[in-house]
Amino acid sequence: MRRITPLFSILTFVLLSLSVAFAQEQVLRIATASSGQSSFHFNVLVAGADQQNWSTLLFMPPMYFDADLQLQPGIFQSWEGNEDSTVWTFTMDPRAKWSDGSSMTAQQVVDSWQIQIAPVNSVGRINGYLGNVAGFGAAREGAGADDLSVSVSGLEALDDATVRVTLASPDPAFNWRVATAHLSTANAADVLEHGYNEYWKPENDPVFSGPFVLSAFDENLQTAELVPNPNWWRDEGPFLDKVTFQFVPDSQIIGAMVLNDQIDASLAPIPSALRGQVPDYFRPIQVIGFNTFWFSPIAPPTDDINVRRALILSVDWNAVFRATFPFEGTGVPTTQPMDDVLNCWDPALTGYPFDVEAAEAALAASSYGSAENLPKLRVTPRGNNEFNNRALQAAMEFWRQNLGIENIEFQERPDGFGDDIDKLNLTRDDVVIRFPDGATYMFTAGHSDGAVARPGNPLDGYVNEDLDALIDEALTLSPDDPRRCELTRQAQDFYINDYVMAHFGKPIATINARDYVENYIKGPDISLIEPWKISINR
Amino acid sequence: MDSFALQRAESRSLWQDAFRRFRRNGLAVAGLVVIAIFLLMGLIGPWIAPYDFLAQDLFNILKPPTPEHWLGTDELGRDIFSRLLYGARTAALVAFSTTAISLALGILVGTWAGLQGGRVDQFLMWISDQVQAVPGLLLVMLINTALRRPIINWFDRLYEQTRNPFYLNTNWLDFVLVFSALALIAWPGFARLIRGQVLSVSQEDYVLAARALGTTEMQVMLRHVVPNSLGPLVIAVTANMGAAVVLEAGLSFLGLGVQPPNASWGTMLSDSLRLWQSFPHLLIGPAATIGFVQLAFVFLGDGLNDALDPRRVT
Amino acid sequence: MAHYLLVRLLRWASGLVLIVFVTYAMMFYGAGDPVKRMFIDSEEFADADPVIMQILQEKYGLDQPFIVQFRNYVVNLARGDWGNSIRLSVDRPVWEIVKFRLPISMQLGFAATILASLVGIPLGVLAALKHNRWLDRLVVSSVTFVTAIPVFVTAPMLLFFLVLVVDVMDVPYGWNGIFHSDVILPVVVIALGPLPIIVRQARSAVLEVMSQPFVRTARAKGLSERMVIARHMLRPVMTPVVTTLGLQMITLVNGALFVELVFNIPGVGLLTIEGIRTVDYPIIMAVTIIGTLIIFVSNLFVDLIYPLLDPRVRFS
Repeated sequence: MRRITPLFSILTFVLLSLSVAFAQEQVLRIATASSGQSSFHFNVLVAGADQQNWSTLLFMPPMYFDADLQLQPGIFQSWEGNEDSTVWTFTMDPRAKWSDGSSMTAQQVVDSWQIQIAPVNSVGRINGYLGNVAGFGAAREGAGADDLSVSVSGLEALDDATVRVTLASPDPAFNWRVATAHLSTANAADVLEHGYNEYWKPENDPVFSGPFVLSAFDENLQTAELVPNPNWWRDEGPFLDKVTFQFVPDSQIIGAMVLNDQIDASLAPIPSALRGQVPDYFRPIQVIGFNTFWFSPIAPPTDDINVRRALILSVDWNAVFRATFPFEGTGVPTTQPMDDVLNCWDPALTGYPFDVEAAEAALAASSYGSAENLPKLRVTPRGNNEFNNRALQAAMEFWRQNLGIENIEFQERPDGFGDDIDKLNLTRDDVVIRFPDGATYMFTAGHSDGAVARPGNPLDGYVNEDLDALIDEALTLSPDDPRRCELTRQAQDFYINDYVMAHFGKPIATINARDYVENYIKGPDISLIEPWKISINR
Repeated sequence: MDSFALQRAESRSLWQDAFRRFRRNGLAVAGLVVIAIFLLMGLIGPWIAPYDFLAQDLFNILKPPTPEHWLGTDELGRDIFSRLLYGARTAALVAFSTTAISLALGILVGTWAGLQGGRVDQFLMWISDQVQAVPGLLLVMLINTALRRPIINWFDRLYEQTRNPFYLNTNWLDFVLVFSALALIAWPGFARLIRGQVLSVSQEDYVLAARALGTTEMQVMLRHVVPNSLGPLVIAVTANMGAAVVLEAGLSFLGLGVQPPNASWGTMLSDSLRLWQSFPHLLIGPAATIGFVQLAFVFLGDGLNDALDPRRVT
Repeated sequence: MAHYLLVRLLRWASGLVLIVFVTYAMMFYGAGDPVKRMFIDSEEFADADPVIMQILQEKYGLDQPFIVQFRNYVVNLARGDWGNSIRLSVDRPVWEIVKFRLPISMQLGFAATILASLVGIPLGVLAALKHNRWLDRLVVSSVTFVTAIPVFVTAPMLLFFLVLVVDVMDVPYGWNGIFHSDVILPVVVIALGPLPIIVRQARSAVLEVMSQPFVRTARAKGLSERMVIARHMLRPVMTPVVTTLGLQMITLVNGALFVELVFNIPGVGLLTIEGIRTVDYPIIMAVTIIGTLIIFVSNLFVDLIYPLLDPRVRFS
């Protein structure tokens, strides 16, 4: 016994000191990946893809929305629009500098945006952010396959600290539009020297503006490592010593790694069935623009509004909601296109009724007359997300039972339709907006120039002139003007009466991180907010 | 009496012998029974299923087994047992049509090559070599990806021409896709086997004699080549059917097989992989079914092998 | 010997031309344009812009007619340029990807082959020696049953059991070299694939040999069972087993496809799945060529080793 006691105390001491050492180890282990291998990179300029979740670790955005959806300064310290909101002036934070110690300049911001606008770099979403800048269209039309950058007349650096943006039409919310990690500045000189897909790789000695720098990246093994930025220019943080990334596409495996304490956070959600075992991983977060089913108003047979009416009214969307989100806290029912996070949300709307008789009548009134004469429906939930898949299959069963429609081609991914993609009748997608503005949401979702309705997109050429006019007017009004919301709601009514979308519930986005990762907060553009504040506290 | 018994023993044919040997092999007989049940379910399953395999009960999803739902319900409240029965149809259809198509192709190519010989033989065997030179799974995935749109569009056109609702049925489309891909990789095996038999039999003295007596090639084929090849063929067919069932499941797992809401064992498996930790009943049904059917094919194949190989000492 | 090898190689190359042509045609006419599919599919391109699509198609030469594209591909291939990935790993040279991934799949395949033979051959011999007794039945049916369930079910189940229930390991992930403990589970799962075939081959080979007159003679001479096995049976038994292993090589590389998918091992199998999913022409062509090469080499290996094992066989 006498011999064992000192041994025991030594052991205890070792264990204690070990646990202290572990507690102090500030390493954040992340499993990335949602789609394919192609999404594992740290090119901030692509304005989307998986890396957008982590891009704020490496690059400071122009401005950003915090967790309460308040606009916060980033690289730009202040911003101001002119009288009619056609010219915006942004002033740089004088402290802003790159990880090599050099200052960031206004010209660098402009150069970085111009690289994003060059069509060969295929930044699809740039339209939604900078499409309204004067000279945007002309610059894209004139660009060739070799032009890594274009010159846009509406973007100019007045001096080292001031960016002036001239817009083609008034936009009182333009400051909101640029408040996203998608428009973070990369060093244009690096991009032009090493190439658009290469400049950020450690072997090219890249510079960053965020709290961390990329210290290792292995394309083959699909791992990466971030360490603190030696020239971090904000007063606070960073607190983490290291951030590690591992590409893990299978959500089942991610689940096992979480349960086995191999990772602290992931991009993809883990199977919702694990909710009971790691409830903290499923803490809800606010995101805008949830999954929606769109009915193409162009492709037969859904080009007939009566067919769309029949398809929507014949489904008990409440039951679909229940089946789609069987676990408590996975989804919330919705009653209208606009999200309740948005400023123009209308609490009085109730959504489409479940009315089989009306649906049958609509189908009979359509130019096809009956289910037998209805051409094939082509549908896709776009990916293998469990919620979307369930919802679509549930809706298909309602169509079969209530309308007798069985002639449906289901493909999990839209590219399964190949060249028949133009004939797609129903697809699932998000309304990609990154700030909580109803007018912008309705523009993106329904305006004929918006991302959803433009040809080649889910609503593929949908035009409602009344809706367009209302939104065009609303967007020129100040966000504080109550008429902006009024017009937006009227536009939404037109949208609802066109029966182009099914809305029944939105999945509650989850944080996908353990609770001991403190200050791990995602913003409305799903990138981390203020990542320099993140710390590990077990 | 004694002489009678002796006579009977002598007149026992190869097949009677084989059948005797086969019957003595308990596992093989069990395998045959399981496969018979599987095929029967594929044939009549949808009619004896307690529920419509598509019918959803959105108020009763993910329920473990109960007296109403023997194997529980899936993530859309569909009866798993009924879906398994329907999946048996998918599997049986895939196994049968794949084997039938590849067998037909194989016999055609094999006999043609064997009888013609020379350049034709060389060319045909070169083609079948090339099919076998590409890894099977890769080839199936390639063919499936490449054929999907053309076949679907072909069906669409057929419907427009004929207005026959059969062509509207997307279920058949998926099946056609899967088994055309599987059949396209399986035929060279059969072709080789048949060709080998044709070559070896046609060198036999009695065949040469028959030819000299003016028997046509067709008759030679039917009388001598086919009966002699039957043993190895039966074994190859069994193996091919078993492999087709598993390959279909693999394709469905990769998202290239039968599309929802159709039921196949493979899609049932891959759908349940998201939820099996909390709802193991989703996985057990299809996994055990595939396992047992597969096992049955293996035992049946072994049994046939033993029974049809007269050299085997047992 | 050199002549033999040369003829084999030439024959393979002539077939390869056909395979490459047919594969390219299947992609072009059946699967469609990868850039177009990228725009249809990808969330990043939710806001599809025809200007961008056109520029990308030009960049990869996808706007050219089939015969021009195919000719360009073959000419570049002859120069040793396998092309750049279009969608999967944007603009990365395919050869660079393959160079990294092929050795990983090969190492896994070899490790699994060795494991499968070390376990399978003794089990097969054991089953044959206890022919038609309960041990024989047990060995054959248990080996068969384990592998009757698809590997994409057994792999995650084994993983969850070992990691979360008995807690003897971490989730193996990615690639840390063939001697890292992470490869144990993937190798075991891959080895399960050919195991029943090896067991059965070994078993029937032993049964076959035991019925041969020389074994009976040896027994009659009073040699012990062990001596009979060691002296007379090992070589004849090895012949069919080695053949099977050679033919199973491709099953290993191919069957590893599901295992690589589950454990995200960056091998050729995963590359195949992702390449086909994204219809990335240069990657699909590369994995096809590699696949045929592996089959060719393993067939050649069997043919070369056969005469060593069985002196009655000569090269022809």
